[in-house]
Amino acid sequence: MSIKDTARKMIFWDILQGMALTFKYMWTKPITMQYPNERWIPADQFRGQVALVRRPDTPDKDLCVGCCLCVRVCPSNAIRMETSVDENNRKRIDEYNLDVTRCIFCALCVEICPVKALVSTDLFETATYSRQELLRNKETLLKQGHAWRERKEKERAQGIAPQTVVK
Amino acid sequence: MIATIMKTVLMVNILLVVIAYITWAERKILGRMQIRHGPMRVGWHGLLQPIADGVKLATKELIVPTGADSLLFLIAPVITLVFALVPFAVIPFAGAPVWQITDVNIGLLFILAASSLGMYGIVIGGWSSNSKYSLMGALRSVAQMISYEVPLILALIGPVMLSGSFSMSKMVAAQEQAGYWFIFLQPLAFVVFLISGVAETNRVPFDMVEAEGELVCGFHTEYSGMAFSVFFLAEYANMILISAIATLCFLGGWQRPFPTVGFLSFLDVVPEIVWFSLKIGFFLFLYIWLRATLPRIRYDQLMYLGWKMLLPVVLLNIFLVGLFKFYSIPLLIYYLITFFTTVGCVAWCSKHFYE
Repeated sequence: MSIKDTARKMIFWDILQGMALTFKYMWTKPITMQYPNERWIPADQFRGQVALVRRPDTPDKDLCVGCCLCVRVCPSNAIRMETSVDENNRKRIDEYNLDVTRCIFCALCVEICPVKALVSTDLFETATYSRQELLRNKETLLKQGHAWRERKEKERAQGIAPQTVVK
Repeated sequence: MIATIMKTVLMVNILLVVIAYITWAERKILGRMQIRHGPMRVGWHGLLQPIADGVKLATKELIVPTGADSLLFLIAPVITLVFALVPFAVIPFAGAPVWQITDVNIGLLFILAASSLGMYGIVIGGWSSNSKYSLMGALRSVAQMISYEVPLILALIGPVMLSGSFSMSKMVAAQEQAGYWFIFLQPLAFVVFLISGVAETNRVPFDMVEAEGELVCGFHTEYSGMAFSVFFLAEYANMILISAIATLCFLGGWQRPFPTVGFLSFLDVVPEIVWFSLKIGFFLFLYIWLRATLPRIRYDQLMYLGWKMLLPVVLLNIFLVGLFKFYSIPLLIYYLITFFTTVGCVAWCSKHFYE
């Protein structure tokens, strides 16, 4: 052991060093986010609640073609779909239900959708006052998806980057 | 008579409020040292948090475990709190006699005796809860407090020898008369007093009593609600008490810093009580600072530190003070002697501590 080490040991240098470190950190800004007051904009690839979207130029027509791939790939059987054939011999989506209480947010459905009708939103607050609100149907999923898309566009226009904290 | 009663009531109430805000300050400083915020939600920066905590603890159910001796179980926290508050009766908060409830000529002995009695509360609380964790916590606590009471009291013998009195106000008067604070004459005793004071109040790094990693919560495992908060109040009252004794015996009580330096006399406009509170506040900050920094030491290290390191060091200090008093060694030479013995003792302690 060198003389320097011995001298440091003699004055309990490691304890003093630790004390200096905690004292230094006392003056740094806390990194904790004050969550309900400030919030985090999740990254673009964030896997939040799944929602349905339609194309902006054809807002009355479903983008979903009813292939049922999302139903099949869903590991927790959260998606249920009912389809019928309409007069033009095209598939029509009569019902599209998503049970958020079962959803595990893996976004495999989003990944597998051939027409990108399903999107992963950045909504992570799933708390509701009743369980019924978590059983989403086609209308609520569409509403959620479009609201999210509009908000995202607005954020982009304002220049709010993902992964930043907003008040 | 009536004035004394009023002073007592006022002091106890002020103390309890101060204790409540020390818990707030502790959580806040601890949080900031860990780059967190600490309490933020109740009031501005959590300033009303102690009140919310108090309401919560007061309205919680007080559970007496099956098989517990309910009378002793309920009386134990009261004993602890009473004997944590009683010593404040002889502590002078400023120079004028108004600032002291009663000036007993055995003040220091009274403080030590009363605060030692507080240990009964811990033993009774641990024993009567009918739980092995409580009992083990209480036994550890008593073993630790007895071990550290010895160096603590021996460290206070130095100031008593120098001032020639047990009275707390005479202690400060002696430092005023001598023109130097006793910390400069016996830094060894001061360091030993600080370490054993932290151990005496069962705080980190000597919180073997709580040791939440090993025991559940020490002697107050089975306590809930108001009884638990009373133990909590007693712990913080003891912290203030140790800080007050350290201030009075070593840091010149309510005097301003460097009382003999003339050009600092503009500091006299600050009231004495403020100086006293600032010094106590410094010690309380040190307590929290230590808690944020140091891990808990092992039980055998704790006993080793108390008996084999602090005790010889503090005996050496008494010997040095005796030499100083008996042969009236010149101050400058004595400063040199204390400096070298302090360095030597710290080096000796570190050598043994790390092995």
